Amino acid sequence: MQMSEGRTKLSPAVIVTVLAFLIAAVFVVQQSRIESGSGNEIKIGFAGALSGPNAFLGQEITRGAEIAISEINANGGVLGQELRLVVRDDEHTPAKTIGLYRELVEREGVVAMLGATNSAAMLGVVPQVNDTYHIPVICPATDATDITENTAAAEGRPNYIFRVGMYGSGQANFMVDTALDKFGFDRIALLTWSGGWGTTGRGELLRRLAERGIEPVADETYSAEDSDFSPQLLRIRESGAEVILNYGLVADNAKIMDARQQLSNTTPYFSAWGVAGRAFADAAGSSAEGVLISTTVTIDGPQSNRRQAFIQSYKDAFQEDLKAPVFAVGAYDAIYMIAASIESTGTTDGEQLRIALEQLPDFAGLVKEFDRPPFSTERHNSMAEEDMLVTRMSNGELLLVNFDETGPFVEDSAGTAFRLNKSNMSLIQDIARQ
Amino acid sequence: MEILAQVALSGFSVGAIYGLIAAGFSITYLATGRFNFGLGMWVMLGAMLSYSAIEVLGIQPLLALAGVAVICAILGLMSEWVSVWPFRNSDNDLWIVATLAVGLLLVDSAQLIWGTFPLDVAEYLDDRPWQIGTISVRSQQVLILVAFFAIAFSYELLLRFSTVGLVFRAVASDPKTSELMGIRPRKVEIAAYVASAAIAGVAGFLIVPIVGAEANIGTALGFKGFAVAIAGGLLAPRGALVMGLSYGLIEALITAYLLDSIKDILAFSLVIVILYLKPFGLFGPPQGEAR
Amino acid sequence: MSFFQSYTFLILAVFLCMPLLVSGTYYLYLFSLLILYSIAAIGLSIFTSATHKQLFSQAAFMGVSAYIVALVLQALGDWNGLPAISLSISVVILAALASAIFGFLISFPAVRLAGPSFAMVTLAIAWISWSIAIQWQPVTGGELGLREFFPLAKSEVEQRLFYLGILVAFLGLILLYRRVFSSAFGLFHAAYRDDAIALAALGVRESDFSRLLLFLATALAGLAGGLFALQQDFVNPDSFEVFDGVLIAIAALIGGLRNVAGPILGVFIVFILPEFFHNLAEYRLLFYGFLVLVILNIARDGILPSTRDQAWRHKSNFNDSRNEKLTYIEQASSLEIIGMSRNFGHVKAITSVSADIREGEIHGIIGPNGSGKTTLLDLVSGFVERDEGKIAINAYNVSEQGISDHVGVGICRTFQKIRNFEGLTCRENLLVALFAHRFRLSLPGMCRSMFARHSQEQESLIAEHLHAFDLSDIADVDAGNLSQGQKRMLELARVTIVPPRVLLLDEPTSGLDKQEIETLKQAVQRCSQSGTLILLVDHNLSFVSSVCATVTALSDGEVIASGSPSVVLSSQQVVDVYYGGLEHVDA
Repeated sequence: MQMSEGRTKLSPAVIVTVLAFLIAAVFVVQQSRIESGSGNEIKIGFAGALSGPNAFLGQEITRGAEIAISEINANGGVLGQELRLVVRDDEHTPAKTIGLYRELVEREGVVAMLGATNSAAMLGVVPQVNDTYHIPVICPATDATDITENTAAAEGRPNYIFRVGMYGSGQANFMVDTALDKFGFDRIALLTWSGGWGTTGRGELLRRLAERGIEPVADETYSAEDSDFSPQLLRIRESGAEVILNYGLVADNAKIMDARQQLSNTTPYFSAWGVAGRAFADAAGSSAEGVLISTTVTIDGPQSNRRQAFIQSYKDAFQEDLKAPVFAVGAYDAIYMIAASIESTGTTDGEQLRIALEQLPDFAGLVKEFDRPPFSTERHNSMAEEDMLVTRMSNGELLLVNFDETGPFVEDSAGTAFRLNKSNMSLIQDIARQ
Repeated sequence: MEILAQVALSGFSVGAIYGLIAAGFSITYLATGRFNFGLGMWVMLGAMLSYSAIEVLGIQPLLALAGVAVICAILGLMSEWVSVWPFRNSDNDLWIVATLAVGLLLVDSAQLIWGTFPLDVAEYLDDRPWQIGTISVRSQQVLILVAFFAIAFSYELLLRFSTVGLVFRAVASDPKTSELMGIRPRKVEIAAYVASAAIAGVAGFLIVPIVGAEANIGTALGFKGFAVAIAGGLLAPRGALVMGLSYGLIEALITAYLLDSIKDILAFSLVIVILYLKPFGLFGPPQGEAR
Repeated sequence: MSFFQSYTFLILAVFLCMPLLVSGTYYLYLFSLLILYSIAAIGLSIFTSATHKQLFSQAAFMGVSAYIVALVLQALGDWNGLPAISLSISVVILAALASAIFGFLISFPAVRLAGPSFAMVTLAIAWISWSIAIQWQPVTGGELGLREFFPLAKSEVEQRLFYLGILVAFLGLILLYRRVFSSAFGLFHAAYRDDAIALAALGVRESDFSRLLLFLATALAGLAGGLFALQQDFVNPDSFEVFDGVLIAIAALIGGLRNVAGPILGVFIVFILPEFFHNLAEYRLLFYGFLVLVILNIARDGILPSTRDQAWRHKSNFNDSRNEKLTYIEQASSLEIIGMSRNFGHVKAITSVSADIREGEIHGIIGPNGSGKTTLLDLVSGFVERDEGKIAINAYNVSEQGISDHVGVGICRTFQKIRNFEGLTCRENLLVALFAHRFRLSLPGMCRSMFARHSQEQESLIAEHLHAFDLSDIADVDAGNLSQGQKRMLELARVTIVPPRVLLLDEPTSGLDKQEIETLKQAVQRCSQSGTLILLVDHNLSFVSSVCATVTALSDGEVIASGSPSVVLSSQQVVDVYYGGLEHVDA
């Protein structure tokens, strides 16, 4: 007690010095920021999760965008200027995102943004963007429906928020309709993550089921950090469900796959885009065989040349396989859309860019080659329900499920077709070993 | 009935992991009155190391187990040096925050080393489930329960019959006097931290085939293990183990028969109620008689 | 206010005004976060610095209040202009109150718990409330939260005004903090921090005081949360995760708990500084981890530790004009201990011990180590619950339980291991006792203590008393720096400044030299002459026989002899107990 009192006695001078140092630091940093801000370049901002459990989202978006930007810059840039991506970590936290949007727009002077990684964070910044900043924001990852169908849109004011990825209501509609109409399942069970995104998704699924006049036979939830899922799966089995609709992420679904295997549960499992990509196959191993996943992009199976080129440049640039393609490919397209609108208007004015985006006549994107305008004044989601895909995990690859008159089938990279029916839809592991 | 048996099996196997982690907290608290608040991160570390050893380097699981335990123990000791020992006399329980800080270091390092995607570890014995009667059992669940009882049993023997146990109890009840008797409390403290970190690492090794290797798995496991340790009574080593099994079972029962989404809310509220009735835990000493 | 305090305050005010000078809203935003998290961290520092327990649920309490503000404003619908401003302010205040009530409720299971268990409970509460925010979708909006309920701070000018508003509120809050902490409450706070048991022995209920502190801490968190909701115009569970609460605690700890500037600096380092190092985002947790370890290892009490500048030390004007006299408790003419028993598990510590102390009498308890002497004192003073037996003062049974209730009926004690408020001066030690007498036993009393300063009467009473105990020369020395004898005298002075009816002294002579024992003897006798019944336990038999009129000898928890000192000390049983062991060794 005595010792610590003596040792830690501080004079006012020390405290003042500390504070003065901090004040100076703030201004030095701020000053250097402004100086580095000048130059012959057009900045595009991105604030998303780069640390914490959701860091992979921000990482994939950044990488996809970087590839697009380096391609564009290699071809002479836009309006004779180089594009530059300014990246910020918002820790997946809305309070940070809101602050970073101010920083990026006011201090960095970005002309457009890629949307954040957290739906709630996007909802938090939408009013700011539409009311004050007036620069276009294109979302590759967040899928809450209200992000694009926001207050400004409802009131008929200019809406600056666009989306190239899935949107919540569309995805839920697609999943329910596909299960009912295309696969012909009647008894539907829900198994959703009780965390944020899963809860929202469950609400959307229940809404669509009610619209279709269907009562789910089971409605189970789980926590992502759980290590055991057999109670839920047993109850679903008891309910006699023909298909399980899931909203969840990679880690929890990987554990669910193990539990399905343990209980020899072969009920077809249809998951939302949270698990679309190689990451899920790596995490779940062979037990994920046969899982159906709705998505906008799959990079497995037969691919266009441009897709193959993108996959290759990703590998070259980052020495890693593309694990969550939806986000990287979406960000890549978003950058090209922004570049196209800057090119066509010849300015970086936010208002002009928004109008240009709404009036793009067509767009040859990696997500989809649109032969129609991707956006319109009313419609800010480039992907419509009919553009969404259902894929099937087959030997660690997410193969596109095609439908012809005899029913669904998948085709692997070699072009071999495999017909799906209710009995072999979700054969655990056995197919993988054939 | 089939569901109940299946639910009980899964509840107990998760509960066994909680129990082991809780024992890790209680060992050091018993000997020193402090513990590694970020012990859950050692579980994560055990899981990540098991992944590297088994899936990447192809080491035999049994050898890997030894390696994981040793590395976790060494790191546990190092963390004790920087985050517990310096704060042994602080009045604000600073070791709580300091050990938490070491936990943060571990999480971020793990994310930098192993990436942000979860990694798959195959089950050590048999990747296919075993059918026992109507219930199907994963080999890993059997392994967890066997390991749990083996550790619990040897812990009990150690505390009861060996001099190690005697020394532990002596230091716990009166460090000054035991020092006069020739016991070095510092050595006991080191032994306790080594054991605690090793047990956490083993828990990570045991659970990784079920939950997958990911940098953030330690937070929830560690916190639940901590809640179990407190609710069972930090001064009652058997309490931690029993409470762990019960906590796992309660969680599984809530999920199976009530509502999963309120599981954590209910389970944590239950812990708070237990502490309201018995401030030193369910198996702890009655009020007013604890150290 | 001292020079130093006004200096720091001025620097802080200028610092926080800076974003108003910079164009744009980014720094406004950052600094308003700085202010809001600082409010929560200051709340935490009030609680933790006194109770030494870690409070990890500040973010959760912010969340409770933020959701209340969002829900109420949403329900009230469109308001504009001045009514909307006053409406929002009152909603924020109500929400802060609601959060504090929530905190107060939680204190019932929580305050009794030891440090680690308390930390666990706060983490559990953070987890539970976060989980409720996600799961209770119809009300809280689930993960996507609630938004667009506060239309006032939109344009840049409005945002500047809003910032100015919270800045003024914050500076006002700091002045209020200083004011409260220079009151009797501040003195209690410092005393509680130094030695909660000694404060309890003056009649301030430990649990009530920490409950009050938790109320204040959560009220401040609630205030921060309500303003946070307005400033964001958006609430969702992500802002109030368990980890956010841990970060607030880390911020307050590394900044320093005993100083209002400490938490502010800590929040600046933890929440704001990383904003300037965007490129290192991946290493954020590493940064926090290293920061905490390095800072705590270098500066145990944080970067800005105690400034030794507690305001009451500088008070020269006594502004408590009320002529409140010390109410002396009516003196007791007898204390009866009847059939007292207490077991610890299977150990019988005290078995039906009875004793009778008459007016003007000093009663001694003797006995070898482990004979139950201190347990008897613990039982009579309410430190330990009795299994059986009664205490009666003036033939009225004392039915009260607990330490402070015993103080309330006039039973006070000292301790074998001296308990003083070591961080306070001798003068302040006595002042705590006077304040404790005035405000103890009730939560409302403690709330009133926030506005009470000491009076001229108290000052002169303390001076007299210090003189009587020969402590005048060292009146302004910290109790921790005194010699053993001085500490003992101070402890005695503290419990007798408000004369108790019954005074229990536990080993008063231990560690004292001859000279000091003589002074002690005089003090004890003086005390007895002024009408206090004294029961003392001591090893020093010559001291006991010289001051005590009657003596009771204990062995293995039972009375073996009782009567005048000469009779008891020469009784065969006492001799056996004291010297028997030696004879056996010899034999």
